[in-house]
Amino acid sequence: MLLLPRSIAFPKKNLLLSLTLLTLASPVFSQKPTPADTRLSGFEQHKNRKQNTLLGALKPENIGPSVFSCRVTDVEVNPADPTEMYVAYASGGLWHSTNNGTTFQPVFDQEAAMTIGDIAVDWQRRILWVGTGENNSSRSSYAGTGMYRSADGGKTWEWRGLPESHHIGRIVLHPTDPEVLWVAVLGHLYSPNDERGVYRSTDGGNTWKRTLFVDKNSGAIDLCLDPTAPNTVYAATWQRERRAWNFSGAGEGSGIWKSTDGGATWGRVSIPGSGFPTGANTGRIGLASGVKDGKTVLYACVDNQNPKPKKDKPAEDILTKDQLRSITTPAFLKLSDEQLDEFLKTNRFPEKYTGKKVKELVEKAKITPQALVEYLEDANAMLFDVDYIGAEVYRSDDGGRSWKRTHDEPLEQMNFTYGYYFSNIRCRPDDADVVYLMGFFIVSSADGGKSWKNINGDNVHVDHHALWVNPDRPGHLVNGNDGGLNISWDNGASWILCNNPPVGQFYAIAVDDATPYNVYGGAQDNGVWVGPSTYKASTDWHQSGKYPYQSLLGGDGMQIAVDTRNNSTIYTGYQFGNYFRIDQNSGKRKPISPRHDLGERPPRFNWQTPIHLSRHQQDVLYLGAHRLYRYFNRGDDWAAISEDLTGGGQKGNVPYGTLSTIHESPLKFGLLYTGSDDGRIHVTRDGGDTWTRISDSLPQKMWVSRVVASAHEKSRVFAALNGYRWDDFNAYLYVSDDYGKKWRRIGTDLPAEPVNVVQEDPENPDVLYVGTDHGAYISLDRGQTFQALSRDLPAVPVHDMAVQAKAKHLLLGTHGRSMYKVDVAQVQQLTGEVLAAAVHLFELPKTKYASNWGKKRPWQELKDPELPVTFYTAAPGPASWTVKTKDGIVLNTGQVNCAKGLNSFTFALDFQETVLKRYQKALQDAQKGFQKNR
Amino acid sequence: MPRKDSKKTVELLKADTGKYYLQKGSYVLELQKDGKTVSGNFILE
Repeated sequence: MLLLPRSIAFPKKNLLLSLTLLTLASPVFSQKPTPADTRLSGFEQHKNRKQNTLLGALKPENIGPSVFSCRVTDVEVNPADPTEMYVAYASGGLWHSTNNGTTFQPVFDQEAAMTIGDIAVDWQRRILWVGTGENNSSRSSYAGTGMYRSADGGKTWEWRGLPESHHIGRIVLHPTDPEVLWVAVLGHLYSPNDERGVYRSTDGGNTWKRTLFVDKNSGAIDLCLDPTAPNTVYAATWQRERRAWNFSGAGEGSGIWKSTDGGATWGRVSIPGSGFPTGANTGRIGLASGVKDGKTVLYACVDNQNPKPKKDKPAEDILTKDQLRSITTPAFLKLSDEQLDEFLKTNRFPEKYTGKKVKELVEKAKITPQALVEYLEDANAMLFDVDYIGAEVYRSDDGGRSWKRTHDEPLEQMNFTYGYYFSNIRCRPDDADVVYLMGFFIVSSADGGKSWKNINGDNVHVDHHALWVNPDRPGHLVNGNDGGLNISWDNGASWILCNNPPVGQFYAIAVDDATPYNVYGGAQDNGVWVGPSTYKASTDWHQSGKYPYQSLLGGDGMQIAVDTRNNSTIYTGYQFGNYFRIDQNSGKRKPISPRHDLGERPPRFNWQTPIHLSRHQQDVLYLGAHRLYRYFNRGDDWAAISEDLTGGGQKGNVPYGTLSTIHESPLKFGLLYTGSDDGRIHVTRDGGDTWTRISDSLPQKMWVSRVVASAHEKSRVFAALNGYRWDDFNAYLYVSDDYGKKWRRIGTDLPAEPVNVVQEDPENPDVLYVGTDHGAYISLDRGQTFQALSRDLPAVPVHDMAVQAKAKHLLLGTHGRSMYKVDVAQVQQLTGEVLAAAVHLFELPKTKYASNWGKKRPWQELKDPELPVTFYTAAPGPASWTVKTKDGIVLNTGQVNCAKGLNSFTFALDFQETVLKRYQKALQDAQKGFQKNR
Repeated sequence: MPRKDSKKTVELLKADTGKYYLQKGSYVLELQKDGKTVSGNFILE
């Protein structure tokens, strides 16, 4: 029997969940991975959209931040000059530094994938290799499109095959033969496939041969060579399978393999009796090799998912969750109140639950003893409550025949439950007793892995994925983690932080209504930030101590809603529904997440739990778990206003059957839409009294990435569906003009790129903005056709968008390149009339005159003033411009070559010397006239 | 360009860039494309 507290008791009238549309025929649809050729032809379409966009004049401006950076997946450093390095980011592309990480330049922005699993550099021949598709198998590890090669330092790239690899674990180049390289291919993340295992090329990547294959769910994650015999190659395979509702990161397919013929044939060396873990609980494996006293040493770290050895029994009077899982009711009732009080206090139960009270509930059969365990098992707790061994390090001194765990003590808190995210190990090439292990922390050992020391400095983010160990200078390390890049010259005793590139991975963004307005963003593993929209990248803050962006919250930063009545109160949170009301002036923070009662299952919260602040009354906030909650009084009072609006969840270790998007009509209070991660869309027109499911005619089981009620037409609603979690990379975008009764597909000319966000322009009802996994697009005809937003925007995932209506700015929240600001004032004016004109000149801005225009200043470059001129033309070709006085004196002329669509140029506000006297006289006459009329 | 005493001639000097710049006032920019002309005003305040 459920105990429903008043705060979340369900209104009876709400039980009228209308399913009238269930009678509609369900569409024939099954979730299938998108073939690589569709993705690659989609990329050609993407390039074509950029080339031919009508909006080439739009110049997105990156407004940072850069300080917290994002997940680095690999670093490669020039051993001959370690101030030169390449840094690969999970979804932020590849960056090059030639000044020890002081500044970086992007070199991989416009290929079919910006997500990178591993890179390799042939420094002698200056050949760069990029294996696309992040290898960390997290929920946002984007799929790549294979291998890329550059022979000119990243200026140009050649695609080099393996299109179905999706995720690449490691690239290893032969130390002396430039034609030979090996690639560990991890394979699809969300579906089984054949293109995985170890691939070898003997012709510089022109052709590949798969030489090691385990099965359709096991790929290769790591490779290393025997430093004394480069034809001896070791590979680690990993069985893993992610679904929207579950991640399985271990299996029989995980193991260590050895080849002694240059990777042509392989034999498994992690076999029963070898000393290395085998079997169904073997997780991700990392490899390293080095030399000690002239002999090869191998290390393998593993995410060992076998159960932890049973510890000594806890003291009898200390109650544990494990004991409660199987305790009988009579035994429970015999527990002392003090024992229970201690348990409740330790596990932070609300104060209303005392030992005595809980026993009463059990005695009256209102709850079972197991309800105490269920109460605690929310998704967040399950991330960190680990009941298996986790990170281990093994060493082999006999070429992999036998392995021995290097440490007696467990390596606590290195992997938690997400060992799939780690398992990288390195050792010094010439002194293999010096070892580095990366997990939640980075730790080092000087005695071959027997003892370990935490070297995670206080300016080093946790969650480590990459490390370069200088072979020539002991203690020089270059480390990549979830917070960017760190360099140490003293073996991790101290670090410098090199976070110059703006590579933040935002999940969600928002704007306020201040002047100038501020931008807010929730970022992967880097919390929630606020900063000025006028931000310009600068290192001035190194002196001032004031970085323009400020942190508001930690964790994985999620959605933000700003009360624009004061621009101070915001609602934001971290993963799995942990939301707060924050007063930015006082710094006060109040948790507002809905709590459940003993006996109830916890609400199911999406990783990015959606919130929405009512435009009609900003004391009203909506928050979506598996059902929708409405908050009054700025989050102080709340109630569920729906039943479960999802498919009900699915067994697994990832919360599923959760709401993923909420929107209230800007035109009507209480006209609300919800979308879920399992493809359900619901509408209520009466503030939650009755709900109607409106998604039955749409593709099923897709993640509803957005549902957006129109600000221009009350019955209009847009829906974006995302198939990324089925490896379906097509764009699914729909509109309905009758509250979702009938849907019409739009955006059919969008490239095969999953849609993350759709946003209606607040002024022009025909303008729609769309963000996909590879960029941003604008429709000028309400979704019939789309233009690339810009030619310059990197092919980065765009997760969220916001329009600042007063400033007429579109903000892009990217997952890999922080935030962009785009002036869309002219886009808003691209009405049918303007689009039909041969040429249209937009209003010219007022400009402040300055008497020092063009004047030399010490140590500064000479600059012209600028008047931006923006116009639209229906056809490409040359145009000419003339600037005159009001009296018709021609002051200057020029030509500009136009593309079809929006164009812009800047006029330097200068006049030709030939008209000096006429202009001077005109000014003099005007001045006289002015004085005469005073 | 320094604005001179109102009783004197307006003096327009070449800047260090080698250019002469417009003074405060209202101006017209015309754009011609494929035989069509459109224009807009701009103000230097």
